[in-house]
Amino acid sequence: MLYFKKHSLMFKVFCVLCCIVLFLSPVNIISFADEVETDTLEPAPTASECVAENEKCALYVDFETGNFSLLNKANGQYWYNKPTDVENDSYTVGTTYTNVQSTIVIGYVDRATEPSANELSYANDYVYCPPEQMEITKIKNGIKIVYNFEEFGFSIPVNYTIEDSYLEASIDVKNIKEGKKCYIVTINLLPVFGAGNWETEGELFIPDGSGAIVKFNNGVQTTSPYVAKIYGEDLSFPKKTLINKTQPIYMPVFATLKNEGSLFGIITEGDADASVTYINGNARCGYNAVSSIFNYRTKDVITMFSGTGSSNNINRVSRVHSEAKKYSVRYYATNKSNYPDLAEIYRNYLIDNKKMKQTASSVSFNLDIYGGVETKASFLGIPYNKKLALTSYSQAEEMIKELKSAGINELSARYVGWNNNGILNKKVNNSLEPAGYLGGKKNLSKLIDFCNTENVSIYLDNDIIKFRKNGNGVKTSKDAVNTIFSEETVLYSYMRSVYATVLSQEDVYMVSSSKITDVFNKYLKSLKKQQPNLKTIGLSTTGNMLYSNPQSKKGNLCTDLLNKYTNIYSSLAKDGYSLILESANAYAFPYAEKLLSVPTASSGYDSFDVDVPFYSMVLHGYKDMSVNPIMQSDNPQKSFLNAIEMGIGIAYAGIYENSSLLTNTMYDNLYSSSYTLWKEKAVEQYSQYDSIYKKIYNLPITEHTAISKDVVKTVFGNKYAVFVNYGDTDITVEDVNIKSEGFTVKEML
Amino acid sequence: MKKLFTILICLTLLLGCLSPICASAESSNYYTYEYDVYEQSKAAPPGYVCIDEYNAITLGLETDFLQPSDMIYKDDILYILDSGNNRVVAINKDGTLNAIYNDFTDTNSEPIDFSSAQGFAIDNYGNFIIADTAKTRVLVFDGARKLDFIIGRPDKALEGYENPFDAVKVCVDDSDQIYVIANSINIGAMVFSKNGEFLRFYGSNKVTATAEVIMNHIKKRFMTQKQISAMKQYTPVSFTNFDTDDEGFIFTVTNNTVATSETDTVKKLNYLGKNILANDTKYGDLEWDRNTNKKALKNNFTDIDVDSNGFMNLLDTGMGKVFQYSQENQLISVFGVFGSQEGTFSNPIAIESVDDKICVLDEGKACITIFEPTNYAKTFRSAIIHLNSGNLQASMSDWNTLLTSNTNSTYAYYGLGLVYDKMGEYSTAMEYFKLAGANSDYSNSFKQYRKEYMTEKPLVIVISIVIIFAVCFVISKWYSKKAFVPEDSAFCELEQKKYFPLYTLFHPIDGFASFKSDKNLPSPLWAIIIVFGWFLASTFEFFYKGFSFNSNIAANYNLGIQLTKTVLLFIVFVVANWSICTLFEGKGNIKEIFCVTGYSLIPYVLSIFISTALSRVLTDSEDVFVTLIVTVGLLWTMFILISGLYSIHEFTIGKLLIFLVITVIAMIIIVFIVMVFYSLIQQAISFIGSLYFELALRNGI
Repeated sequence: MLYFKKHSLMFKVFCVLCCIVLFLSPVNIISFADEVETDTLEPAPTASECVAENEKCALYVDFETGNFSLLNKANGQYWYNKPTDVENDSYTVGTTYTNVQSTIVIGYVDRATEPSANELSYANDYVYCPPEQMEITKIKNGIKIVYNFEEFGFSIPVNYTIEDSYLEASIDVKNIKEGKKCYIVTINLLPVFGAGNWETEGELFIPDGSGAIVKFNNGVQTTSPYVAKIYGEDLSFPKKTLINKTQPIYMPVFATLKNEGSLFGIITEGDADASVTYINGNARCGYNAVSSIFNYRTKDVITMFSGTGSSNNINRVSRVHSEAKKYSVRYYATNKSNYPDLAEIYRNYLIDNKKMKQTASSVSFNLDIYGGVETKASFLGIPYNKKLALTSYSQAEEMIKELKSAGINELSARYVGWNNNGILNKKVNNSLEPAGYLGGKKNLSKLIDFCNTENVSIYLDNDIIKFRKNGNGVKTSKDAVNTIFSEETVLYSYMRSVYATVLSQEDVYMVSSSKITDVFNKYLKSLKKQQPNLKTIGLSTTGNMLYSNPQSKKGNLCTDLLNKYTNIYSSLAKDGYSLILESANAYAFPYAEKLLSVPTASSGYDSFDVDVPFYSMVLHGYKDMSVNPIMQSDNPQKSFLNAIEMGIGIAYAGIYENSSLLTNTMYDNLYSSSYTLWKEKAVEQYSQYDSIYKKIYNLPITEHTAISKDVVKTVFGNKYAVFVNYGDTDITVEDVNIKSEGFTVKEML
Repeated sequence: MKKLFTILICLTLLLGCLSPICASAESSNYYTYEYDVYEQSKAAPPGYVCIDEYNAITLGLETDFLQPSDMIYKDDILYILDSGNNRVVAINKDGTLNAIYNDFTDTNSEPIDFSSAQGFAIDNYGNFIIADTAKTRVLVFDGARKLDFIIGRPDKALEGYENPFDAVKVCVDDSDQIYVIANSINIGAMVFSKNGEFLRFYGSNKVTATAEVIMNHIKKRFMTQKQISAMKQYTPVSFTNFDTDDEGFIFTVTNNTVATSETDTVKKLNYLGKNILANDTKYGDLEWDRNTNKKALKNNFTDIDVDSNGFMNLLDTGMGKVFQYSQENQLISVFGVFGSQEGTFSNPIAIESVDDKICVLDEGKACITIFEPTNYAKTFRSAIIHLNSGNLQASMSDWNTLLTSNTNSTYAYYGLGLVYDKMGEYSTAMEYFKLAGANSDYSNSFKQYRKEYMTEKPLVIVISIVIIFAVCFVISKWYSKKAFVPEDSAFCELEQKKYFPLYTLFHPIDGFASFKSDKNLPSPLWAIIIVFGWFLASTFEFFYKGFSFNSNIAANYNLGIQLTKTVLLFIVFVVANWSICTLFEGKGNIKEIFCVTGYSLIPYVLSIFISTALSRVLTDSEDVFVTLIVTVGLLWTMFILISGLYSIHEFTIGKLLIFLVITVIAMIIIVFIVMVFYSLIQQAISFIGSLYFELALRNGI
């Protein structure tokens, strides 16, 4: 309203101009729209003004209500910031009812009642920030809306601009005003942008694990909504129990797919402090939408026990807030509604904006070698941690030699636990320290030389995060990550039977983000000095461990660590190092050359309908990937087929010694890793798969279809179709015969 | 509206089939484990993975399941008792709908309501039997779902009881008898003929005589009637559920949060109602959350299923898991967890096996979750089947395959032990039993091995015996030489200070009496050496006791505990004895008490060494010898100690005995004071710690 008073004349002129423009160039819009069945499309927005437009899309804004819509000119489809048919909705009940009419939902904690705030309180703009409290101004390529929640004293400025084929919604984090009354904890931006209603056909894409699909109106009601942090749960919030086995979110993307086209969201800034959530149509909700949440602050709870045994929960909001300057989400409007095309959008984004390069190689076999591990032993009754050699340096050499002579011509190897501090670092590992019990410096150099002459990339994997004891310039009191309650964060291990933490375990700490670059630089320096010819490096834990340090005014949330990681990665790239990572998050995509243990499934929540291998769709042809080590997966043969379905490398975890040694060590889940146990199987799989892999390794996935319950067809670069049969019976589809638990390749004409 | 919604859902699903999707992702959304020798959970490959979930949508039902409460698999069809909807849903093996039975009528052809029914069975003629719990009756329908007759409370048999006939579960055996479990009736299952006449009670659980139960029994004799009725009742608990196997045995499961004894959890009952399963097994999880001090097991078994190979599946509604056991009570697989993912449970209530698959009925999710064995579980099961059928070679190769999938598998080691034992390769079997921590099986193999060894190498045995006798002879010769009192002296050589502990072995009273005459005679150094020897002996026993008797874990050796058990115990005894001897006007001083106590330990320490050595050639059925030696040693030590104290304190026998009792009390007091002091310091530390923490929190450091 304010706006109109100030600029009423300008506004009128602009309106007229816009109308003229629209009137003069109707051909563009209408002719595109005509190609699609117009009656299935939503109607054009009324009372809206086109504030920005380019050849691909346009942004319409209703300055009276603050509503806006994005027009995809390619198919004439409008995407509204919130549903336009709420009055017909007979399903939605409860708080969701006002949320589906909102553009922004704030989760906050009242400062006065902070310790007892077990749940966040929520305020949405529909109820607390009516149009008269919004300041709407035009900016270049779009508008800026400041949402003033006067009752709470919040003020959140958001820019909506268009470029190319996307709308960028961007919270100006620096200029968020929080007021004195409350802490803003979460900001759910555009919770129902492009929502489908109870009749719409379509689906939501959730980036959980490899990727998951929620069909519109699938009717599943869940007790608690899906909210998952991007790049995995913040490790600074240690859990006392671990019950469920879930997959994290690896990529900051999500999408709404309708028959006419899709809206594909990429979180481009602030992704480290973001979460993904969605609503799906069921008896209590009429709409389907996926959206992102910006975690401005974080919140934790501890249980305090009194002397009498009663307990009390104390909640605390982090005093530090996200370091991200902006929280930006791009919404690409596209007329494609299949996943390979959406993956291409994301891949192109990575190539254009993050300088991702194609580094795929034709090596299909990945070997994980485990060097040493610690076990509890006692000498004359005094217990101590004994270092146990699983694969010494010369044994690693022998293992590679034997695999090669058995027929695995090309392989790459990652060596874990080769350093003197053991697998679970005793002191933080900031230098290249060959372990005496594995053969010492001489044998390590010999192994590296051997790999160089044999053309095997060997990645010495180093964990620069975990440590148990002070030393190497890192002190628990100063450099360990703390929780909100100023206690050192401990990485627990859990009992598989009753989910509780293991008590007898030595505490494992994490290096805080302010120290991590220092640790890394020292390591890199010593690596360069001792092994100048080694141009491969593994930093596996950095790819999948992201955490904040929320304890005090000096602390930080996850964005800071993410920035440190990317600096580390780019300095490695500058020095010409090839980087290997494991279960890596998207922030590492542009830098990593090899990605091990990529996700092949989602968490399989009840509200998910099917999985989609989006992770491999994005990266296939650009990066080397491999499945989880095959012998340790639920079903080794299916894991192998999984690799073929996605066209990625196979992986084996190997030790030279008998794996019964691993009982009572932290590696007891590497059951059956002795390489003699799997050598023959691996050679057989390699010989079946390698020739196919050599054809497809540098081609993108262009089609991925489930032909039946057991048969999947994946097309690589429109050239090769790979059919994989997971079933127990032989099957013939599209004139191709596929053996049970087997696969067939067909060259397309 | 609901209908419209379902149609919409079906439409979306149909459309969904056209879009690109991933093939059925088989995965286990739970952490899988096995128990190792030390009853600690270890990571293991999953035995069963979820392959499908059948719900109203996949089955094409118009209405969702509403409080489904029981499930039966019969003649290739899976029947679901969907109580809330008054219907029975029949599903084919492949997950397609077979039939919906919702036309149950009473004798007047009026619809009948059994919406609170909890149990369900189908007899050998295809008649439906439904336990209508809230209405305290069992309904028997004919083939056309028309009520045939009602089984009511067998009042005559239950004379004197007031408990209602709240039938929860029913089952039918091969001779058409109907078994009914009622929640409130705990004298066993009730057996009815196929015409509904009451026949008998069958196999109840028993109250085990725990200390608490016996104590209460005694208390009751001194209580008024009112007090007794207010007391906790120790009545046997009724079964929770049952299943029949192919041979007609009835397997029962009892909810172990109420079971009075662990052995009641699972029973295999013969026709007479007698349990024929080995009853020393602990079912369910063996660990508990050690963050809470109390040992609280949360498993709660509410259903049992026996598959065609005799494997028992137990449904745990307390933790949302399924435990599969062999009839030799070997845990084959544990799977499942509470959650909202595929293959996780919300409120599982019934379990059935369909061929090799396992189906779990989940009331909360209103679906049937289907699990399929992985190759790992298939190999495991086939290894056991082969072992039981005597196909040892096949079993051996299965166990070895199992070991390649999981080198940590204790069960595979145990299985190989059994195979080699049956093949007569006892020393190999012993190696495997040792790896599996199976003490008694080791002992059995060792017995056979020993037998073989003795027949093969009798010479070795003879030579060993000769050596032992020779050593004994030499020692006794030496001792009698030293104990010889020369004619020109009143003392033998043993009575010198350096041999004195050996002298008191056989002459405690006069030996220790000479402490009084020669102040220089007691040698604390000797006493220290002997006490240290005691510590060494107990350590030696810890590590080297024969495996038949030894379940210690080498890595668990705790120096502190061993020292406490030996040296500290000795010190506390000496201090306690000394501190109260003045009260009794005892004449002994600390040096004398120290030496007497130390010297007296010799027989006990020797007996530990000897019994440990002996335990390596004995089997667990001969443990009486081991115990005997230690007991003799201990009694001897006691004798020397008492005589020694008698001599140095110069007490009468009666006073000495009282004195010893008081010494023990004093020891307890000393320990108590130390403990109080320790815990006080600990509390002070934790108080300061939490004070700091709270201050830090409030100030927002």
